[in-house]
Amino acid sequence: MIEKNDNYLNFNVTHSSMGELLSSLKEKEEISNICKERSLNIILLKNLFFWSAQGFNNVELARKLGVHRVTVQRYSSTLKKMKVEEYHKLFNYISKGLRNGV
Amino acid sequence: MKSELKLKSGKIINLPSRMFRNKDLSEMNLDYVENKIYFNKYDEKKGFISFNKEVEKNMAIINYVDCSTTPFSKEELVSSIKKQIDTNSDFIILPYFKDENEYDLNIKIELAGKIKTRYNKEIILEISYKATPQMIKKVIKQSENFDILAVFYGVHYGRFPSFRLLCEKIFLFKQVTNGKVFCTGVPLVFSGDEYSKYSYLFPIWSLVCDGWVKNWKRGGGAKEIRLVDYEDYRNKNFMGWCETHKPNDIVESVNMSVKGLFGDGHAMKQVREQYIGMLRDEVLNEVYSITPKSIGTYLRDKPRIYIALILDLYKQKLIIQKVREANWAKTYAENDIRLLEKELFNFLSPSEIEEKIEKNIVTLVSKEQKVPISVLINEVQNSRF
Repeated sequence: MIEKNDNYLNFNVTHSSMGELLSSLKEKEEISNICKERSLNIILLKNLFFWSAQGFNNVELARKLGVHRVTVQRYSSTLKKMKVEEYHKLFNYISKGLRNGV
Repeated sequence: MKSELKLKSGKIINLPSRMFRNKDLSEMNLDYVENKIYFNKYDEKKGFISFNKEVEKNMAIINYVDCSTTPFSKEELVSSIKKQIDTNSDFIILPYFKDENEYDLNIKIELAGKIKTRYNKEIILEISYKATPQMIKKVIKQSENFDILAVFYGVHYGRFPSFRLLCEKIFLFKQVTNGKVFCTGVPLVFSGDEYSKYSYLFPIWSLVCDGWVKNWKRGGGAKEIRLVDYEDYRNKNFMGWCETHKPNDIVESVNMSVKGLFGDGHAMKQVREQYIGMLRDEVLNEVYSITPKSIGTYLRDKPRIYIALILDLYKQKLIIQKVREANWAKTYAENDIRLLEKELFNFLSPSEIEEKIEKNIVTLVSKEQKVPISVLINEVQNSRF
């Protein structure tokens, strides 16, 4: 079994793929900390990004997603107040997820 | 797993659909929610509450007469249907009666068949989650008499034994008839398992059925203030919150400290209600957006006893949507498709099932005109090892 695992690691796990994995885990953790600090739900945030990019306003978003109007307002005002670097991280993470259909 | 249902009235609803009551919409500060169901409960004094035109235009309407505390009688049943017939509803529901038996159910099913031929509305037959196996057999056998089955749960707090009974009914009905199932009067909080003393905000209804409405009856008052923690979704008292937060930590959604949130008085009660309402919407949205790839992440830290049941129903929904209802499957005999479904069901993970269907089966059937079912089953079996 150990030999099998070693073989698998030797053939399939390159330094670059390991690096990619580690950086994606680090990114995930960073995003989850940003969301935790501001009590944002990442899935709802993803949905809000998706629909607001199509031009829907706060009330329309709330009607579409079936969430409290104040929740949508809170999410957009939290994003406005966020530091630019943090917003960029969040934006990149979500748009990557939306591109991959996750 | 999202899908659309076109009603006889021409309206389209997105499934799985939460049913919103007037109270829900006003709490959410919304006039309507797009393509969902509006649940209008009959009031003995006021009748059905009138609602605005936007609701009628954008939502499907269920006018519901609650008979869950009334013993069965044919007169009551007919009267509840009459109340619905001349209204602007898109459904006619034959409600569940207190302690109804097999004989009562027979009457309901027969009447459902008669109404179905006369009215251009979706017919819903409501039964209890406690219905006996004989009753379920009857419902399945005569499922052509109605369009949707509703299972009445009617509790504020979900526990494993009752949840299992409910899930078994949904699974059996869907497996045999392929029909849609709604759950009525459902709880959003479930008991924990042997590893956790806390209960959980665990509104998994979008994963197990096609539509649901929260229990509308008032629960008994709690002895102490308990609130669901936004970090782990456990329902805790102040001391419980202090295990994961400091008393002066700010709860962002209501902009108040943890200590303040547990304060006395009517105003604080309203803040707590607002907090829990907002948290609930966020979680419901999260559950609604779950895909076969993300279901594992959602269920990972939830009470374990429920997970197998939820996964089975979710897998069943996935297989029905991707195999049974798919165009390519219609060229095969029903029994052959059932064999293939059985093989797919053996996979534990929904994302694996999705991958097998999309990468292996669909690729094969789109290449050749008619692939023998044995080849498809082999393809699934071989990929398991």
